[in-house]
Amino acid sequence: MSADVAVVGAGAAGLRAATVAALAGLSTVLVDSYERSGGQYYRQPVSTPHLPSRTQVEGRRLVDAAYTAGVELRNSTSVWDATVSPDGGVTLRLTSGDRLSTLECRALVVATGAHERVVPFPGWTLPGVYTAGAVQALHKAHGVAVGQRVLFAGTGPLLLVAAAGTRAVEVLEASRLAQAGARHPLATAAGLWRQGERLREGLGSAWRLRRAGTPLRTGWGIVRALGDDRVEGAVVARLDADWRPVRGSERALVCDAIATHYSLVPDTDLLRLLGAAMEHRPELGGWVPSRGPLMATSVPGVFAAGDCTGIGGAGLSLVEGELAGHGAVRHVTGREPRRLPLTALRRERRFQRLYGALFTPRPGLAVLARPDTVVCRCEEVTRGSVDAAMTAGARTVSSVKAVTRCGMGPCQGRICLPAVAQLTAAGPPPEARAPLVPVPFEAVASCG
Amino acid sequence: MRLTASVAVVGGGVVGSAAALFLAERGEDVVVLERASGPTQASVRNAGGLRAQCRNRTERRLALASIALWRDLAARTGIDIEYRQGGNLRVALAEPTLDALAAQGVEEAEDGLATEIWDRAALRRRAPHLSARFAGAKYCATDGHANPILATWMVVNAAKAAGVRYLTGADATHLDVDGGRVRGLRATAGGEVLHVEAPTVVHAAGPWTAALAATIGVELPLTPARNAMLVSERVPPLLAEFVSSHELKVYLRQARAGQVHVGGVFTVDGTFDQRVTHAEIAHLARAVEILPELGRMRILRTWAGTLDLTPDHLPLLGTPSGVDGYLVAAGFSGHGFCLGPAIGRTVAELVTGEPTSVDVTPLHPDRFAAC
Ligand SMILES: Cc1cc2nc3c(=O)[nH]c(=O)nc-3n(C[C@H](O)[C@H](O)[C@H](O)COP(=O)(O)OP(=O)(O)OC[C@H]3O[C@@H](n4cnc5c(N)ncnc54)[C@H](O)[C@@H]3O)c2cc1C
Ligand SMILES: Cc1cc2nc3c(=O)[nH]c(=O)nc-3n(C[C@H](O)[C@H](O)[C@H](O)COP(=O)(O)OP(=O)(O)OC[C@H]3O[C@@H](n4cnc5c(N)ncnc54)[C@H](O)[C@@H]3O)c2cc1C
Repeated sequence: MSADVAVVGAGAAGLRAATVAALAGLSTVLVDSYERSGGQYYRQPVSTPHLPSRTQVEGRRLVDAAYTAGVELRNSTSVWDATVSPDGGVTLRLTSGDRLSTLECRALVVATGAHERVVPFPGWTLPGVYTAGAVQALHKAHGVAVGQRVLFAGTGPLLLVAAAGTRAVEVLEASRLAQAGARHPLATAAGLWRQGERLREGLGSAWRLRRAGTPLRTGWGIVRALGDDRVEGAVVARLDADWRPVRGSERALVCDAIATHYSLVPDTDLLRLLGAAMEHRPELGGWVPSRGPLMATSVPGVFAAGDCTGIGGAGLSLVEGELAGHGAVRHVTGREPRRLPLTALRRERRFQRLYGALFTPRPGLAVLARPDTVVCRCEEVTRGSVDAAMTAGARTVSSVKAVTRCGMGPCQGRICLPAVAQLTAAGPPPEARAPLVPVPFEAVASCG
Repeated sequence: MRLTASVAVVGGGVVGSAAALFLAERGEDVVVLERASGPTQASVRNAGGLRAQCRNRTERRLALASIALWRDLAARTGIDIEYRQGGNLRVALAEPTLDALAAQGVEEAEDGLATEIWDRAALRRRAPHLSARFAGAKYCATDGHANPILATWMVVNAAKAAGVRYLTGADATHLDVDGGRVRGLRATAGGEVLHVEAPTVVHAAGPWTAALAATIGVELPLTPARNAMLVSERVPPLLAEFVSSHELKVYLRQARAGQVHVGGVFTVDGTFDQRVTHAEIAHLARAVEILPELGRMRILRTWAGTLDLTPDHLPLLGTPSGVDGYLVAAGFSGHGFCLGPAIGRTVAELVTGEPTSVDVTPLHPDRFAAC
């Protein structure tokens, strides 16, 4: 199969990019692993007991717009390998259930989004510990509550939003929001200027928590989970400026579930597999692609937009998606774009900077894991083994990975390697290799 | 910066580290220069096969010695390298292939290596998970496999414990030769130039050995070649043997944790690029033709390492004429993990002038210079 433009990821950025390309008359295919389009924020429910929310309605409109523009939507389909062809195009290898196929395109927009960062702490592998995103998804998609007394801890707006929808006992935000606001009051005001929608959403969550009597503490965090077979409580503490627990401030509380969220990590495997130049930007979530005008990466014909290029929220993803769509169109047709949403881009970048200033995880979190705390769940590697490997001379993420097998399981290190990176010396970004997602042996053998 | 040593070793993979270990145990003052943060190349990317069968005579003798040394090292250090004496099984699709394997068994028996020929029925009975299409197999019960990452680090740490200075981030850039003798070398480490004065230099830098050797006029016939592998999800125990087919050009083993590791008896020559192409992945997936149950599993990861191929696929071991004190140990052509400890011990014997435990004169690097 072939197309003028292929877009990977049907979230805010990908939907918008694909729509722009299709409206320009180019054959456009939009691929996403999930059954439903929309990505993390706008994902459409399969069926819902609730009335559609405002975001779902907005998402519906984005999906409809793509469909009407003529985008071919390929859902339940993942990219597992990709190569840049000598003639400049890109070949994507796709897997959908047990079926494999290829997609050749002249320009590619990567909009693979981000995933939640996990910080290992004693007890984090107990049943009853979730990520805030999972709690929100269970609630949104199935109306399921994970507990009657849920502790929320970590950093980022999602913590508040997810907590507002559930029975939260306490919400602990590691960042001292008030202080950051007081130190940069102008930045805060400017960043949130014209952010009516977002502000309303945030205030709405805060108001609902307050009405429910849920304490929201800033500068606090979780130290460990309590319980033998499942979560029965937690020890929490005040955090210092580096987010290290302050000795003597610990206190225990009773809860039946814990939801953590430590901001997001951009999903850059596909970009790294294609050989895009990367840069390390902690305030954007870690390794992100270097980009030129119209979201072009260092690989000709490959554009990148949205959270996979740095955490910036749904609003920025929409704007970047539009720009990347124009980039792809220009690459294929040579036509210069006419109107670009540059004002919106500047506004959203302000929000992104504010987000980075407030919610970038700090090094103190690394002290939470004890020697017997599991760091890599897939391969059951403990913090002690990671430390031992480092004492034995492994200094970078990739050498720790080689020695301990940390990150070699089915999740491909998406969960544990960001935590290992906090411990090790700066090295190059970890290598990405096919398959990006597990693929069936039989199908690969017979396509040879 | 300057330092002195009695032996400087270039390359901290399994070969360089084993050489350093056996030299230090003989009282030498050894420094290893490794340009990465530790062993990160073929030594930790290989299939972990420890096999004496189906080899050239010199390599067979080295392999037998080496397997004993691997077991001895693991016992001495108390480190679990996931060694498993599960046997090596070379399967044959065609009858003539099986006949050729049987012929090899005769020479092996002379060297004290016991192997068996299994016909179709025996293979079905002894290895029921393998495909029924094979005419038979040659089996060596004393062969096996280990985890190459744990095993290589065991050697590195044993060398350090024996007093070796193992310098990481140290990239050897010049060999200092004067009056037909090596005097030491220069390296860059942390942006600085490091001078190492040493009367003996052991060059065990894998496929990267040739370029540096060429700077002192030593031409080594080494071709870099990519060799790819893949690994399945974890599955319940299926097989103990290391199984290979030279007709299908794939081999496999099940690691202790349950993943099936698949490697290829094919290479992409003339490149240091370690990106795995789709063609290689598709070829490796043909391991389902050996172990049909793989068909129900998924491929989890792939990777590649760089081999150092020689024209006869045998190592280059010895001092090239005209450069006294300079000893090459490279060109392992995909066999160096198994051979590492025996090669390390032989290097130590050559440096100290002891008689070698195994006759390695057929491996002398000058063997190609004549023609
Ligand atoms: C759990 C969670 C909750 C969030 N909640 C909010 C919120 O409430 N408010 C807010 O403003 N922001 C929220 N965000 C952030 C917000 O989702 C993003 O800023 C924005 O939606 C990002 O859009 P995107 O298009 O870049 O990526 P995403 O919306 O993340 O979409 C990326 C898509 O790419 C697909 N994909 C990735 N890799 C592949 C592959 N190899 N093959 C095929 N498909 C692939 C994924 O399936 C996914 O659907 C949340 C993020 C997460 C992770
Ligand atoms: C996929 C694959 C599967 C294999 N399977 C098997 C198997 O089953 N059984 C088996 O016996 N063998 C196997 N091998 C072969 C085996 O891995 C190698 O022969 C062996 O590791 C060689 O060890 P080495 O120390 O010579 O090389 P390497 O591990 O390549 O080490 C060379 C070292 O030298 C360093 N170096 C290079 N240049 C410099 C410099 N200028 N200064 C400082 N340092 C330098 C490098 O960084 C590197 O660490 C396999 C190889 C591969 C790639």
